[in-house]
Amino acid sequence: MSTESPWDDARIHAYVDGALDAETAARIETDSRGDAALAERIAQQRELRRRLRAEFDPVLDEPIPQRLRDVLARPESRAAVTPIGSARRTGVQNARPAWSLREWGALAATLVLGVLLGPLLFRDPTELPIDSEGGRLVAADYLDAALSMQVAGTTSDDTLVRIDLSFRTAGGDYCRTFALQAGPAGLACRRDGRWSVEILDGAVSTSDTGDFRQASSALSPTMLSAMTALGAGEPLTLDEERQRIGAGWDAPGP
Amino acid sequence: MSDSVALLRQTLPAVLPRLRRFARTLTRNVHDADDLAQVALERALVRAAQWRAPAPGATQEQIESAVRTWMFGIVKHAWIDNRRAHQRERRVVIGDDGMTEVADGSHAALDDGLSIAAALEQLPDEQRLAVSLVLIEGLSYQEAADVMETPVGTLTSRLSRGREAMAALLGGKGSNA
Repeated sequence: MSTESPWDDARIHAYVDGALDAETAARIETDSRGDAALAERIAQQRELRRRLRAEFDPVLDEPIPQRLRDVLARPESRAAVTPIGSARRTGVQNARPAWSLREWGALAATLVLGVLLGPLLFRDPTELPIDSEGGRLVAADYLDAALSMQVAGTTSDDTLVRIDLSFRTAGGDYCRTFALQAGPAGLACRRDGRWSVEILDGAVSTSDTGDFRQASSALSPTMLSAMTALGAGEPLTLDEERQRIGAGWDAPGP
Repeated sequence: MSDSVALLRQTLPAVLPRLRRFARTLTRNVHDADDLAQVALERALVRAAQWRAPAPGATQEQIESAVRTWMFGIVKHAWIDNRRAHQRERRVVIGDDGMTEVADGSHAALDDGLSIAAALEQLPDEQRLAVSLVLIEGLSYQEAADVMETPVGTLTSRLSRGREAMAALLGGKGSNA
């Protein structure tokens, strides 16, 4: 790259990006006509842009996946902002499961401890941040991140998951109970490097007046009996939780 | 529903294709990219009231541009959250044995030069965002800096380093088509 050129990379980039003022842009154009090296540097930057666009522009012509349309098609009252419980109150008649009941039932059967199916049908289960993997249900995207990174009780305006408490089982696994703003509550335990969803409870009873962010969870009977069955120990303190978040939930506990 | 929330919801479908393209530049796998777009849409609807609509009289293009820039910021946050969660997981799983870094298997042979998408994937997150927002999405420096929540100078510096890295990875200063 010529060091004698008055045009440094920054200005060539700005020119190609359309960020130069008109006068400077006109000057670089004039100069490039008599300076092959400069013309070549400009051409290289244009080529980079062209190749990137050629690679990714076809995405624009793809049909929009139905699940993305569905998010936008939800009336505001049923958007993700809906507090837990209210979607249930608006009624199951809106149910439009994209998966068949049989399919979802088969997956639900993989839950170790159980699931209350009916109330989940008010929304498309594929919209839940939960995947099926190796015959079990595991937390995905924002639920996965929240279970790994979020301290119990912390919420903000755009909180999608509330973590209520963490404990160790008699077997030494770490488990956390959670509530999704999008619907059900549940319990997940760290096993084999993933958050394995053990309980998904669509009938969770948050206070009917309760705001999702503030509702402190009275644990549902389903959740309590699951915790008993797992041999839950004392809830982790916030310090213990932070230590886990720092060290990772797979690391051996104290 | 407030007017600005209604305007946002009304405009979102028009920006979906660009949203998907931006997500694809950050996550090559089609399914993962749509997951990212979906998480961003969910978050956007949760905080729809926070969107600031342009002043009355704005053109459709100005409105779409405002929605797009706002959405790109949400996509960026969702992407970074997700990567942090996964990076931490990788470190924990393998890092405890004293191994320093986990190769992610994507350092493909450089002999032939990488494909353009593979080269983009090699960039550090901040450079990848800058390249994607300006060179692919065509945002102005100011708009891209707003999305990245950095000063314009930081954005242009990341963009410049991203360009150099791309040229090196592509093996021909970006000129071999």
